[in-house]
Formats: sequence, C-alpha cells, structure tokens
Amino acid sequence: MALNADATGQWSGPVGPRLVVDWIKCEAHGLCAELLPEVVSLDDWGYPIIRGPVPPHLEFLANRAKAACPVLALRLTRTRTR
Amino acid sequence: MRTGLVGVSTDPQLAWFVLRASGLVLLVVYTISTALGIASRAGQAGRWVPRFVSNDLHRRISLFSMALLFAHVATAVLDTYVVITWTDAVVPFVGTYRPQWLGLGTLALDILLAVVLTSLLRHRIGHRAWLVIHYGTYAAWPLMVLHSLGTGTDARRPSVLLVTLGCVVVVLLAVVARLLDAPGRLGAARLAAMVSLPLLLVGLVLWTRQGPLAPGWSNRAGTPPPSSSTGSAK
Amino acid sequence: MTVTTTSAGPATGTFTARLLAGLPADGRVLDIGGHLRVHGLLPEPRAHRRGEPSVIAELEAAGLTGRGGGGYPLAAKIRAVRSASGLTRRPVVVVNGAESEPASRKDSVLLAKAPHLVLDGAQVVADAVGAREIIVWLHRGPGGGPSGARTAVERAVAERDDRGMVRQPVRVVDGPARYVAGEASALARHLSGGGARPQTTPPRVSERGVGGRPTLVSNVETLAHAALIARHGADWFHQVGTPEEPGTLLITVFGAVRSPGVLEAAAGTTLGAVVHAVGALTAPPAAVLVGGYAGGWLRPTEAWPVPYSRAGLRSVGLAPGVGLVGVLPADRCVVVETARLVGWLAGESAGQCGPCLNGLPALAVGLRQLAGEVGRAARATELPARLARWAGMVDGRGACHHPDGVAALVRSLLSHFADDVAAHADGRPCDAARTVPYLGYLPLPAPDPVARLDGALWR
Repeated sequence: MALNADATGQWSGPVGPRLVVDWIKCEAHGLCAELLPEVVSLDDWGYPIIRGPVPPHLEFLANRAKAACPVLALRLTRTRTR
Repeated sequence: MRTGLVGVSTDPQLAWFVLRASGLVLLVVYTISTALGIASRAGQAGRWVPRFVSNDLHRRISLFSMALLFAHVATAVLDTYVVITWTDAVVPFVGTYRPQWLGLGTLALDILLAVVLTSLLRHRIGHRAWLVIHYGTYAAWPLMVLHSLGTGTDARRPSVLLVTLGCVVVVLLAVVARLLDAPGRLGAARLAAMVSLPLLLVGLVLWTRQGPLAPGWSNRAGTPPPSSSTGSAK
Repeated sequence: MTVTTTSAGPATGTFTARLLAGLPADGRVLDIGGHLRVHGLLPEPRAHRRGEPSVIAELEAAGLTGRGGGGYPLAAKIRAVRSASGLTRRPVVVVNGAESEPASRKDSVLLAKAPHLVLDGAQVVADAVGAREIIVWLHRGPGGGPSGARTAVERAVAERDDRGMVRQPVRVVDGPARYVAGEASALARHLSGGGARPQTTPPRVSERGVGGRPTLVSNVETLAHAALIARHGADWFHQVGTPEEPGTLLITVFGAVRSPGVLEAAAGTTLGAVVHAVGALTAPPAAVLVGGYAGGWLRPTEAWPVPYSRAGLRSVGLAPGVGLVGVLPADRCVVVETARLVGWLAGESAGQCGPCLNGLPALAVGLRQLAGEVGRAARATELPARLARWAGMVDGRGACHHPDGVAALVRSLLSHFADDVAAHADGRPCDAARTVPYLGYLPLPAPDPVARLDGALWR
C-alpha cells in the first residue's frame, strides 16, 4: 500500500531511509518481513508491503534484511520520492 | 594427547585420527548445509523455523566449514606417513595417493571455494551469476561422499557406514521434498528425477559393497606402498 | 474514425484546431506541401541559452506535459537525457506511437493524418538532446497488417527525404501489440534485443534505455505540441487552456455518442462540452469512462461539469490518463464492463511481479462474481470490501504502473457506483447483468496469438 503517497506517487511523510523492493526480482521468500516486521508485512500472496520509512533505531535491521534477501531484491534509499 | 599441526606432522596415528574425524564431521556438516540450502524454497514462509534463521544457519555453517576443511586438508598434507602435497589439495587427480578418490575431494574443494567466494561477493556480482556457481554444490556434495568412501580407510566400520548412509538419505529426502513442493504441475521431468533418486541410492550401496567394502580395496584404490617402515598397518 | 475539430453549439471551453488544423476535408493525410502551408517551416534551432538549446526553456515556459498518460514535463525529460549523455553515450529519441489503450485512437489518427507535425516534434527534441537517431515505435495494426499510421509515417519520411529535410535518420519499428509493451522501459528493452517487458526503474530510460544509451521516449501527441511551440512560442501555447494546464489535448470520444471520434479540446474543457461536441448522446447514459481502460468511471451527472484536466479530474478522484471519454448506455452494466476490462487487463500483465500476477486475476474473478457469474446464486456481501482491499494491495507494487491503473478503475467503480455494487453484492444484479453471455459493450482486442512479450515470435 502506498502509504502517504498520493495519486501522483509523491511521498509526503517523514523523511528517512526507505526500503525499496525490486518487484521483478522479488520471489516472496519472506525473510524481510521476518527480520523487520515493524516496517514490512506480507500481502495475501507472500509479497512484502513496505509500510513506511525505516525508523533510525531499526536501520541496522533494515541493512540485515537487505543482505539476507536471497535474490537481492531490496534496496535501502535515502531519497524522499518513490 | 598432543594436539596441533606439529603433533599431526610427527605422529601418524594422530594425523590419521584428525583426518578421518574431520572428514566425517565435514561430511555431516555439509550434509546439513546442503539440506538447508535445498529447503529454502521461494514463496513460503518458514514452516517450523523462520526463513531468516535457516538461511543464516546455512550461510554460517558453510563458512565455518571452510575453516574445518582447511584443517582437514592441512592435516593430510603435513602428515608424513602418506605423501600428499599442497598441489594435490587444489589440483585434482595428480597425486600419488589414491589419485582418483583423493581427486574427487580436491574437485569438491575447488567447487566449494568458488561457491564461498561468490557468496561473499554476492552483492557485487548479482544474483544470476551467484546462482549459476551455487548450483555447483549439487556436484560438490556427491563428490564429497564418494571421496569419503574411496579414501576413508575405515569405511568398513559400521558406525562410519551408518553416518554416511544417514547423510545420503537426508539429502535425498530434501531433494524429493523440494521436487514435490515445487510450484506447477508434477511434470514428467520431475517424476523422472524423483524416481531416479532411490535408484541412485541403490546404485551407491551396490558399488560400495563391491568397492570400498570388498577386500583389497586399498590396493585397487591406488594406495602407494608405505614410504617409511615405522608406519603401523591401517 | 471521424476527426472533429470544432464544436457546433454552446459549450464551456474551446475547441481550437492546432494539432488537427488544416486537415484535408476528404480525410486524406496532410502531406508535406499542405503541412508547410498550414504550419510553416520549422525554425532552425536557435542559439544556446544558459548552456542549452533555447527551445528547452521555451518548452519549460510552455509547461508542456506528456500526453501519453504519464504527464511528465517534456523539458525536464529533455534535460535528464542531456545530463546522462556524453561523447560515448549518444542519446536516442523514440516516438511512442504504441497507443495500447484499446479504445484510444488519438495517436493513430494524428500519425495517419498529420505525421509531419509529429516528425517535426521528434526533430525538435532530437536537436535538443543531441540525438543522431529517431525511432518511431508502432504497434501492429488490427488484423495483423501494417496500420495506417505506419504507411503514413513512412511516406512522410520519404517526402522529407526528397526535400532534404531529414536531419536525423528515422527508423520505424513494429512492436508487439501488447498493452505493457508500449511502456518506456519495455519498448527500450525490445529495441535493445530483449523481450518487451517493463524493467525496474531506476535506472530510468532517460539514463539507460535503448542499447544502454540515454533515451527520450515521448508520446506522438506531446511531440506534435512541441513542434508547434518551437514555431509559435510558449506564450502562444498559453492562449488556450488553464493557467496550470495550458494548451490543447486530443480526446477520443466513443460509446453512446452520435459521432465518435477524436477531437482537440483546450485543457479544462468540461466533459459535457466534449460529449456535446461529438453530437451529444444517442441513449441515456449509465456511466462515463475517463482516461482509458486503466482510468476510472464517473456517474454521468457528476461527470458533465468536470473539466478535463489534472486538477479537475483529481477533484473526483481520477487522473487524465490518455485523453479518452467513453459513454456507457443505460441498457448496459458498469459492473459487467469493469469485470470484462479487468479480465483483459489481467491477461495483459507481463507476469513479472508477484502482486500484479496474483492480484489482477483475483480482482478479475471477484468482479465476475460481483457481476453475477452464472451459477453463483449466493449473496457475496463481503466482495466489495475484498475488492477494495486487493485494489489497495496491487496499487504501486510493480515494476510498471499497470496494476496502478487497474486499481484506479476498480476503486472508481466502488466509490462512484457504490449503490450498483451493493445491489450486485446483495444478489440483485441489474437487467443487463442477467443475460448470458454477458452483453459486452466496450471494445476489447482479440488476443493476438503471435505477439508475445518475449519477442520470440516477433520479427
């Protein structure tokens, strides 16, 4: 769900590092949701829903999730736009 | 008991113990690692254990095994009873001691080195390149088993046979489970693969019986005559 | 397909012929002679201003945004391609004439009737980015043969060649006629030798596109506007339209209207005026589709006063998409039509991303159940909520915007036609939904067995 993003895709929430999913690579392994349930939950088909930016105290877990993804489908970005 | 590489190089008995023990442990550890790797399937959350746990365990076990593998190889090289050089450790089939059977282990080592290196550099080389090399583990593990049966001089011991058989069964079960669980219809190719696995197991048992388990294997395997007269019969 | 350029009666908004100016009355193409008589010569690129060709600042001042559905400012896109280009990374210009929206005809009409304007625009942007190659991307016409657009473009290029007017070589490419193949990264991938499937961005095609080079992909209508801005300037462009959204846009009007066709209207013209300009309605309307099959529905009474502009449509929860207005007559069912559209759109997914691959078919099945699928006598009161949830689940979660469009269509049905949806969910479908097989109204292309996204069967 595009949290805090309006119809044109502009992000208008708190600034912080964002986990971005490469949807073509993602294969619904689900490790990211296990490691970072505060930010990542899974949809009905096992694919990750990124609910918002990564809180600063969880950034190390976000890095861990990015490294743990078996297909390298996660990026951690600092920019505000989608 | 004297420990350490110095001890290993001067005491053939100790060297043999360390070599055989490390080899057996390596077989078990790599079996666990391989099974964990086979079990990490896409599209499912971990049923009994979270995915990131089994994934992390797989990686750590494999990495730790490299240290144990180095000890195994170093012991073989430094042991003075049998002539195995550092070259034999990385170039397969060129040694004087049971060249084919040792060579299988060397080949497995080469593959594992490539796998570990590419895994450490995964983020740089990308997923596809990493995956292609990683499939080499499907070759490395059987090579390990054959190496163990071919060079292991106590292969006839029931306990060792049991461990080896257990390892083979674990990996075969993991492969069958994966074939059954894969998405899509159960096509002809998959069915053929599943049927061939027990056949492979039977083939392995038959070969073991008339090979390593049969008398005279040591000679047939290519063991050179002892280099010193102080060595006790193995 | 008729081409209308003026309104016959009282209307709110203006129908100025700019792109469609001077077209021969007999429907033939405006050839080079006619084109030069109507529009004049394209001016030579003027001196640089602030280190870049001055036409870029002109396009920026004009506020020209993309007319292919994305609405991205052309000047910004040109600058992005320029900054990514270098001596060893020469940019490419792709004229996007794919028009994969099944009911849209504006691009093919423009190409078939006024190809020189589009080619002028391509030249303007090619000069601006320093490209030495222009590719015209078309989708194969219906029936498998070359579309009228292709013939017109090739003839136009030949005419220009005869007069020595070709500055950059123009190559016409037939892409696979699939919905997502017209997306910028998909066509770039096809032109680079792969299959026509959308790619993950970043990197955007303006950075790495055809053959890894910076690529400017622009819709044919956008380029035609650029060709006129290069001649007449930004102030001229602002003479019609709204201050925030200047200029005109081409709108395909179809459905229960007297003369379906393509017309040119100033941005901000109301939907009511647009429909009136094509001869008004032939039947009482049930619903109005705006922006494309991946656009949204409106109730007729709330639709007529809405201006066709980003701001105007946003106020009713829609986006302009590609200029398109479709009127569904009252003897048809909006739920049935939505089910048909989503079913087709689900089949057009490239199948690369999990949420789209799983979610669109789920929405299609759910909508068919809502429409009153034969054999399902039970009530399904939780269906609307489930559909809303799935729409939210696919929105924004893919490599391209295909699932976003489907989500928008479904959400517009649920919000603007809540009563109809509730009645269907309650087991009381409308009359149109009771006949079997369902009476479909909106045109859907027959599945093309030859065109595949992976390019294997495409030459």
